[in-house]
Amino acid sequence: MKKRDLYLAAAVLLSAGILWAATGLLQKKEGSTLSIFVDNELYGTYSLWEEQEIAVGDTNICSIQNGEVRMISADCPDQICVHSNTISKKGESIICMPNRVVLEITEGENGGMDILAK
Amino acid sequence: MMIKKGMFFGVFLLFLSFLLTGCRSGMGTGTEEFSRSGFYFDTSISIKIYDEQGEALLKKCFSLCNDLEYTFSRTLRDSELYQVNHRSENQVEISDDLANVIGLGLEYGRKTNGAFDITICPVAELWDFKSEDPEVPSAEALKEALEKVDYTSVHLNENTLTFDRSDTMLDLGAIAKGYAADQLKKLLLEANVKSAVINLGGNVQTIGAKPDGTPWNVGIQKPFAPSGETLAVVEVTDQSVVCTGVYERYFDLDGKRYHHVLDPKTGYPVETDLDQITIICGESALADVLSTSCLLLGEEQAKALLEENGFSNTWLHLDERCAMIKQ
Repeated sequence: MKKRDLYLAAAVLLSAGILWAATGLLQKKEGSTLSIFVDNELYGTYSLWEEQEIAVGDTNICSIQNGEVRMISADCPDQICVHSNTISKKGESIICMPNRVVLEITEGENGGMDILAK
Repeated sequence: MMIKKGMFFGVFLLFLSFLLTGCRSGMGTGTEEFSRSGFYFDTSISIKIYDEQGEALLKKCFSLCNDLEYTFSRTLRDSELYQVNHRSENQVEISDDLANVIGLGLEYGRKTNGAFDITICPVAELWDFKSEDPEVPSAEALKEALEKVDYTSVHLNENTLTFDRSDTMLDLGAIAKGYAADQLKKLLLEANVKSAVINLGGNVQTIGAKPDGTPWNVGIQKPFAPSGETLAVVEVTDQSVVCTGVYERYFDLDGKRYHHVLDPKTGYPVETDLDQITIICGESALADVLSTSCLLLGEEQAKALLEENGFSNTWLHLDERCAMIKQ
């Protein structure tokens, strides 16, 4: 009986440990999110850990690579969005005003800045 | 008896294991963030509310932004300002919101001796900074438009606005976003929100501190650098941060740069010794009108204006041509 208790205890603790590590990993992977807004509506949310190119309507294309987001192409005249710095931290955003597209990191690691005044 | 003990022990361990996994998830503060982005006031806006009523409050905030856009927009034909600018009588009754902003604009026209002038609209309409083929308006067109610029010809008495001239038109772009930010803050404070941040195209207003009690870290955009690159990051609690700069909208033509902060005396972009002014104080409308006024005045006169208006001499150079003043 005592041995069985020990095995049971060990099994439970082991499963607890596995669950703990798993949720920890899941958190890092799932907790970093890019949200794309077009006009005033949410267009979609995307994980920063999945490398991908996303077409936003037929006006803009952005990419997620190595946990960073950049606007790779846009049909706007000023191209400010394409020349913006890449974003990767919570609160950072890239905006294409003429096409009313906002790329924003809505969940993720905190950077040194919560908001940008300009 | 032994069996019972084993089972109890096992169940206890199982319980413990759930506790361990439970502590790992969730946010430390326990306050959920409600956030939404959109386009109003001819710019992108974003509001983040840390309060359980956040979802409902965001709807109210965006609805308020829509209402205010229909009060202050110079271009929307149904807006109150458009109707005022295209009036048939020279005396009009206006809403409280419009009266408050026009009042502040006229006040700063007086305080800056016309360096800041909300009747600049006829001149502003000649310039198009968004055009793919931008042009400099002709000197004749500018001269004709400049004759209509005179804040002293506009009189406000409570909600009655009187114009001496029928061709006077108002542009409230230098104050409207700041005022809107204050109205949004008022709405959220009335709902007992303790922590929120409002960003109207870079015009920042905050409520309280972050949910964890630490100040907001507000970055100040570096002029002419890619969006997101900062000159400095300031810690702010319950205050507004507003920048006015020559880098926000401009075009280059024949080797010369034309920016959007127009001089009401010449009709051309103001020639000033500053690229950017950042004002930090409680009221966003004040920060907005002050930062524009200071940029138009240049450093020496700006310092005098600030001192006369309750800002102690805290002029801080973030860069050679960039200054920040915190109340």
